[in-house]
Amino acid sequence: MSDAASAVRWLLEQGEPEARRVAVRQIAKVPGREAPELLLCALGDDDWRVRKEATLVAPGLEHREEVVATLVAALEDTVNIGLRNAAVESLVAIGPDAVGATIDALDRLDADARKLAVEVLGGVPDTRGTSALARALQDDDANVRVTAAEALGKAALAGEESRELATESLVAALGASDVFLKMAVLDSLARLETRLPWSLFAPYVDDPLLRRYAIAAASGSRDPQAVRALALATGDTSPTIAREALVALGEVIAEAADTDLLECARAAIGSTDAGQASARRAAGQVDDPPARGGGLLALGLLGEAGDVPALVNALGDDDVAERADLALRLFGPSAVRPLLAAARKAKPTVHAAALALVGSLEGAPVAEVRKALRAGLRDAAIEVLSCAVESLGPLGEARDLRRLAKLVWHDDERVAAAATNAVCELAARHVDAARALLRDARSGHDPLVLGCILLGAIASTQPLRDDDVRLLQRALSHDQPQVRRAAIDALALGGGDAAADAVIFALADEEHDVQLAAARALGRLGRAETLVRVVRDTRDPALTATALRALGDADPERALASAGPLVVHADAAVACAAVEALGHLRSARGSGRVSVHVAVGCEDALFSALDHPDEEVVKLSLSLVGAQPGARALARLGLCLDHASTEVRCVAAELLGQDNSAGARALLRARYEREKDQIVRAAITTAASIRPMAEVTGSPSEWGETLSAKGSSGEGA
Amino acid sequence: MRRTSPYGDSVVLKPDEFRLLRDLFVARTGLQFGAEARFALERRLRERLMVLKLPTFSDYHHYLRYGTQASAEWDEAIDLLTTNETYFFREERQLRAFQNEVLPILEVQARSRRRIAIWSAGCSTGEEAYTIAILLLQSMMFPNRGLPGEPPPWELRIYGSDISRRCVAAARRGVYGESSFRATPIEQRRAFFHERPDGWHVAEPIRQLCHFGQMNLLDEDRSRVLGRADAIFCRNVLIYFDARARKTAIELLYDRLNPGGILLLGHSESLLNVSTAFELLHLKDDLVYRKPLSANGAHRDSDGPT
Repeated sequence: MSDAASAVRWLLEQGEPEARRVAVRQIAKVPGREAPELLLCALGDDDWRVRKEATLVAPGLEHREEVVATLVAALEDTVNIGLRNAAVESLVAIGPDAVGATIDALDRLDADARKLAVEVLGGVPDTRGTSALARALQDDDANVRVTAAEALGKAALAGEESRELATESLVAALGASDVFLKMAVLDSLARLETRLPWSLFAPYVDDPLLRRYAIAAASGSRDPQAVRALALATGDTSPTIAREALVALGEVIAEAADTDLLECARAAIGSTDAGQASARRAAGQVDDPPARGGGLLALGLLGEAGDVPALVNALGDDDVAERADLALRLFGPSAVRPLLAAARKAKPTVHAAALALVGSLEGAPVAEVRKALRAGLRDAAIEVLSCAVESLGPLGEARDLRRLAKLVWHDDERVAAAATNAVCELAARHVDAARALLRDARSGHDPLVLGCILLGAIASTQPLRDDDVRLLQRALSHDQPQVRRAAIDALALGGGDAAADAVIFALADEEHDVQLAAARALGRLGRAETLVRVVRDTRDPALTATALRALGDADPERALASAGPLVVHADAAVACAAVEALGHLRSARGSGRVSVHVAVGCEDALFSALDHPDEEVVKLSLSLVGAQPGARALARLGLCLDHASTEVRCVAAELLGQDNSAGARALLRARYEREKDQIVRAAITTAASIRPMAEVTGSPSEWGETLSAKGSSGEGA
Repeated sequence: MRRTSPYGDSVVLKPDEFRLLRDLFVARTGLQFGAEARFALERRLRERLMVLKLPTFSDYHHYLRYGTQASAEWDEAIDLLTTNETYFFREERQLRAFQNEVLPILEVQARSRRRIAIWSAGCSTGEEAYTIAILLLQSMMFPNRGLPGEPPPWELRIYGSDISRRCVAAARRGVYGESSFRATPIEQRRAFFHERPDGWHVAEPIRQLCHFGQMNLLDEDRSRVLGRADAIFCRNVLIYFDARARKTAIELLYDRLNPGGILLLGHSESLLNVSTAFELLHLKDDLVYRKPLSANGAHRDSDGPT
């Protein structure tokens, strides 16, 4: 035994657990083949901290084949339960390299050890493992069969092929007589989010033991019969089943692509008093967001005015706010009156969210909404005031212009910003009223502030007059930067050489915001030459980004020529600025403003950025490449799965998961088998488990028929 | 069914923008946002885009990363994105265990130096830190005023830290409304707070024990300012972190504890799969984590959690 191994062994024999725990970390430094033996010793320690430390050390040890063999052998230990469990955990942590040996061992292990081996295979998403687990459903031992069925519930993490194989074998196992196996099978089918026909689960709904599992398993189905069954089950006498059904129904409602399914759910939930009571109860349960969300959506479908306060109240809970918002939209215009009544009594954040919602609710009675928003202008709470101001922008009338204009000077920056935006929107729609206000403003205490805002809005709809331009030029030397900025924005909209000449000087403004506004304005005014110089001369990343983007507006070819070389700039901030600008430019291709040649050039430059030494640049570029994937992009995403940075690999995996083509899935699978980092492996399995769009939108009944045809021949053990 | 605006003019947080912001927040603060948080993120941050006159969330991402006022903007964003709901004497059972079982252990360990430091990490608006101060005083184990002929007084110090600047300011102010007292016995409220027109003010002897500062639990350098603590409360904070940040934060907390120091987590939190460096300490009513007495607290590299 080497000196290092002897020293570690001596430490592992000490009475103090902390000393043994620290010693475990030294195992990785032991050369040769003595490390597995020491690892085994540590995995069998009496203290959980020592065992846990050993499971963390195991994946990093050299001579992996021997480590795996030692660990698989440890599964057979009949005395030390701690050792067996730690061996399972270590094998799972080692990942794909442990799968082959574990499968090979299945034939020679006894039943207890086979069960543990099955747990290992369940913990490592791998297609080979899924096949072995499917075979284990026929094992002689009942415990092994049930464990295999449970493990197959995680098969989707190994990709679509695994999900299909697992689903097929689990459906076949439903024919078994073993009730515990059936429970495990149904539970796993639910976790696999299978979209199977209701007929497959219907036989188990009346079984008191299996009902809960059958309801949960049917949650992925979009079969109207399944939706009806789920809705009815929300009134189940068992609170657990009612909750499962509500959660599942909530998913159906949130994802419903057609109104028929919603109508089906509405009719079913409307026919069960117990279900409605259950939904109302759940809608108030703040400690259970999934059930609360389901309850809220069910109430949204029912559309009873008495439920609106509960929905409004939920707008203030981040965990379910989106569901509450959707539920109120399902209600439709009839929700407006009770919604506003409830909002007035709610806390300010909820009141504000409710005002925002009615302001964008399709079919809402505009006069009533305007009245509520105008009342909001008198509210003492800043959140409510700010929201009312913002919503009045698109909804208000000419007469609102004057009262909103007063808020442009509000002390709170949120209100002032919202008022500025709202005045712009209203002034653009009501130019005569804006002109009238402008005349009054010119005689007011500071005509330039409001004047610039109004002229900006007017300029977006009609040419400015000479005296308008003179006012804006005067505003460029105002002592408040926001006025100078507003003047620049207005001049940019007005156009013309005089405006451009005036704006150029603002590039030298001492305020950063004003410089950026000037760069944006020059883009709109078509001053490409100036912007090219700005990009060349500035060292400010924000100005570079803004100027490049503006250059894209003025002259896409020159924007590409300026931004392209900067993606490899040593300063990551500058490179990011260039990458962002190129992404923006490429996304404008659909508008017809950017030629195919420029779009391809942008893509090439984004690919170059993937070689940048700074991972932030790579991640940003990757994100933009992944936003519009094609064959070339897919190949680059695949390459990034091998990037040195774990974060880059995680982002690449996530993007490939979203792409979800067969090619993307193959790339993920190939990388998974080589990936050593557990966090990246988890990212890959999560990405691989995303279901392909074709299946989501395809006909579930057809898919289910195929499966049930396959499954009908299967017999359980 | 997606939420739509008939006007189509509101700023929408697109998936790639969400990803960029999500990664930026987790890297800087440890706070993780799952896909379900996109709606909340969009709703809360939209006002910042309006104030900054930024047209897209992509611009906001760039502003946070490279803007000249990025540091101030981070404070704004964090204030908007963090949950600050808390109250005095929260998780009463754990506090009882702390008072009856942990404090006696700490008293023995710190008797020779006669100094106790407790850190409320993620203190929000300060209720937890002041609760700890009340418990320390009520225990009568640490007399902090010296009398002739008696042992020297104890030096008591409670640090409260939070990533939100607004929360820290509120904690320092020490004025609370009714909702902060939902679990406070009336006699304690009368004994340790004074009612004034603007709310209940923390009594001066309690306030004097508590010190507050803005701190990111991933910022190792900043944490060193605190010195070492005998106990750290970090309750319902790590649940908002991703795995990587959780590990980093736990390493930092381990580093900041004296050997034998106690870490108290929220009832739904554990160190399973995060760290093996702490020992489990089974109390009658609770389970807490202890930095081993044999641990060398000075150098994490040789001794810290993995």
